[in-house]
Amino acid sequence: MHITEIVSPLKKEDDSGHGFRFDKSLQELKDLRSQLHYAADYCETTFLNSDEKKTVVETTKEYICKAVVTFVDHLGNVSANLNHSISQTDSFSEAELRINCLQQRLVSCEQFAHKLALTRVKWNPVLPRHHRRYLSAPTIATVGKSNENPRVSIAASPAKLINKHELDTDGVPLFFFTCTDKPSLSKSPSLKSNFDESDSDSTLVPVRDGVSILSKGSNPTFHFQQGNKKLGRKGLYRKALPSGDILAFIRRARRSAA
Amino acid sequence: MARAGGITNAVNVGIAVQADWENREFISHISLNIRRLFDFLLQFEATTKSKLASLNEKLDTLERRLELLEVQVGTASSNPSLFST
Repeated sequence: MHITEIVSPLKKEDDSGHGFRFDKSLQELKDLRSQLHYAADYCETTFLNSDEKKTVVETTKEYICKAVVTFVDHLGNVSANLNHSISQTDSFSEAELRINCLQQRLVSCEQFAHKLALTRVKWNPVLPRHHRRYLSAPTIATVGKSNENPRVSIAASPAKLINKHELDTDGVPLFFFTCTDKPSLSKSPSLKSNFDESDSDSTLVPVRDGVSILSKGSNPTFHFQQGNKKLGRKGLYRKALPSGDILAFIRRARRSAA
Repeated sequence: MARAGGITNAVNVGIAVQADWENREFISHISLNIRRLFDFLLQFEATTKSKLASLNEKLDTLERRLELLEVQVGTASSNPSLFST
């Protein structure tokens, strides 16, 4: 529906007819005022000049009654036309409807534009896939460092490891991580087992974008287990020693009491 | 004769007084109707002013909404990159 087709010509003629009627009745009321002034002057001169003043007075009374009735009639006509012209607010409601239509169209256009903009920014589920050999280098480097100093690896938090990956991967060209680092995997069996786990994992990750997935490759729990293996027995002894001291203290106390 | 003339004068005065009261009654009726007309005109003026004020308010609201729509359309048309895929 086109906006310019809403107002029909019949309503325009109707509105112009009501306006014309109001103007015509108002003009008749203005003409009646001048006629009343002229009639009042005529009655005054006739009353002063004539000998039968009683007849003139009666005629003037009748004319006054008729003039009042005529004035009331014209006034009612004018007021009715004006009231009808004011009360007829269909054009305003139509304009309001047209503005509502325009506003709704604009809101629809905005939503469409936002949708288009979101489709460009939205995350694409079909991520580019790279071979895993490009991802193994930073993981191995981190593991190697952790094996050299296990306490440091225990103390290091996973967030820091992720930051290391970011530092390793960001700014490094893709060809830097090549198969030349692969022989280092076969040197330590633990790393090899770790690599086998990563082999079993079939997810392939982009080099620069998959930071959260790369943190899985570091496998910090594995290093914690290594550290716990070295310190586990000592920890058990350390726990057992206080209980032995307490028993020895009790025995000494009994001997001294005896 | 004098008594008859006195009666005639009294009758004439009575007729004149009655005519005067009739004229006064007529004038009071006319004035009362004119006052009613004046009251009607005052009431009509108040009603018409109220209706015109409500119409003016509606027109102002529509004009503001139309200006807002014009600004929004101008903003959207000045940034056509939003609609380009």
